[in-house]
Amino acid sequence: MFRCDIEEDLGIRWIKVEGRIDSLNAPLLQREMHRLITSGERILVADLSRTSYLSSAGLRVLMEAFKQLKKVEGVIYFHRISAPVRSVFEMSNLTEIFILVEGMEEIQERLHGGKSPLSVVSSEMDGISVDALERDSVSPGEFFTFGSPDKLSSASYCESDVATVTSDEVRFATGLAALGEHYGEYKDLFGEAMTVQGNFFYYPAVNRPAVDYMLCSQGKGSFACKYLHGFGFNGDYRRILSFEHGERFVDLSKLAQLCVTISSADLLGIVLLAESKGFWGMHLKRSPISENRPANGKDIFAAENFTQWVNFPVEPGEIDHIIVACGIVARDGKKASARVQQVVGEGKNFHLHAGVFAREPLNRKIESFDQELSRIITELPIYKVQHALGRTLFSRGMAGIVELQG
Amino acid sequence: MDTLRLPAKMEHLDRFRSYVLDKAAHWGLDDDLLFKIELALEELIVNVIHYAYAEHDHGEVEVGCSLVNDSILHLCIQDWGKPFDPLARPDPDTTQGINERGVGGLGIHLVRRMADQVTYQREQGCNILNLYFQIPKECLLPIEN
Repeated sequence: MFRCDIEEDLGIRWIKVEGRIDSLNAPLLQREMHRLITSGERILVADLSRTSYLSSAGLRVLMEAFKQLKKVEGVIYFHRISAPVRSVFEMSNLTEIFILVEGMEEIQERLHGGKSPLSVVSSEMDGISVDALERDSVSPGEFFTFGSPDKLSSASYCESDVATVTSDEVRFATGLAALGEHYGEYKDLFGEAMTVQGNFFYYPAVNRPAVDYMLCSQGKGSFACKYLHGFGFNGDYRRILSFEHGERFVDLSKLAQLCVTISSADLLGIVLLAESKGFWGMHLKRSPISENRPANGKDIFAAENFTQWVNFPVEPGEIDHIIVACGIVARDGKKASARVQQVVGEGKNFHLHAGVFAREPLNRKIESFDQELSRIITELPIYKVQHALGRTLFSRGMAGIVELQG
Repeated sequence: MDTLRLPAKMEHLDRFRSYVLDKAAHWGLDDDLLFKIELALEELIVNVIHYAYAEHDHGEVEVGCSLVNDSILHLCIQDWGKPFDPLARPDPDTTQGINERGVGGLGIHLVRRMADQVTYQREQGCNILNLYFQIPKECLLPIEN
């Protein structure tokens, strides 16, 4: 006999397992655990008071859930374990590792005992629940651009347009770029790129591209990347948000607006870390250098050339993947400086490039923003870097906001 | 010793289980011991199901269960798959922290802890595992047959 009920109490999910967790039933429990964790639950209680039997197959499921939650700073409590469960835990030396609890009071104590030293303000904005941390005494960051986007549509960049950007000078950047020593080697590779915390990722504009990257921890100190054009920013996060969708998923445009509403500056550098519920991204299929200029003399976005040059999505993709996006948001595109207007494009107020990382749950604790960002960009596989479109949907995530001058 | 021989398939796990547990209950063993026997049986049968045979071999597994001298329960599990001594595997290091620990290898570790003695033999193309469980005097019912 096996029964697994999911209930809610104390604001968290309880998995009540009645009967046997053996080789036959363990996969069912695993499915439930996985579903809860991927849907964003970070605190679980496994009530094993009525579990009559546990074999190594079941134990594996519990260990995996424990490890997976631990990685994202979550936790699973084992509530009132039965005698057979206790004997298996003991024989496997897990009673000291697993958190065993007796009764609601103990769980409540553990949940609310240690108060967070940070003052996080929770609110609901437009149906989205938002936790926001504001850091005082953070001075505004610096915004800068390199190259010019003007030669893009005519595909007429040449060697003299290349801006060398080194990883220790620029922490965050967005643009068209490549990696390499000599122009002749990398000129056909310029594609969507981003620099996040000094780490560089780009999607070479070739057939069947694969993301190329350079991490700052990898090399010996700083390295150079070659931007054809782009923009970047330095500075510390003034605010960090954690958000969770309400009835509907949150699209990128709305999220950009939310960052503006919550901030006081007119220009923001944004680093977004979120779970995708349908990613819309586009990328160049050819490097926009003068050698590749369309033979018909028309611009690369003209109808005759568009499909050869641009990979434009027809449907959303990468559901449940972790997206890391980097770029800027302006309060009002029309009132922004000429430099900013040139970067965001006419009628728009944001420009972000996004890396599509593995399908994994995300830790959404504000205080671990930096840690979680580092974990994702240095440990998880990345599949794409694309220009992110405003209709991209997210279920939940975090955003680091650098307030910028300019 | 009468035995039960069935194809090495997950769907037969329950039949092996009730075959052994019915006997053990009949002998009046307490829940504690029943749990140990049941757990050891599952771990070893699942091992055979997963590792003994190639996918289309349709191999079998045989389980025997008897009382020795009214004081020991003897469980015998046999298969005709490739030679495999589960006891030869090093025990997982359960003193490590959770991050260093793999999630595998725990089944055999539990078997060793459950049974009072476990032996392995390979005879005429057959893997034979013998498990012995000491029965506390007070919990054995008088045997009728």
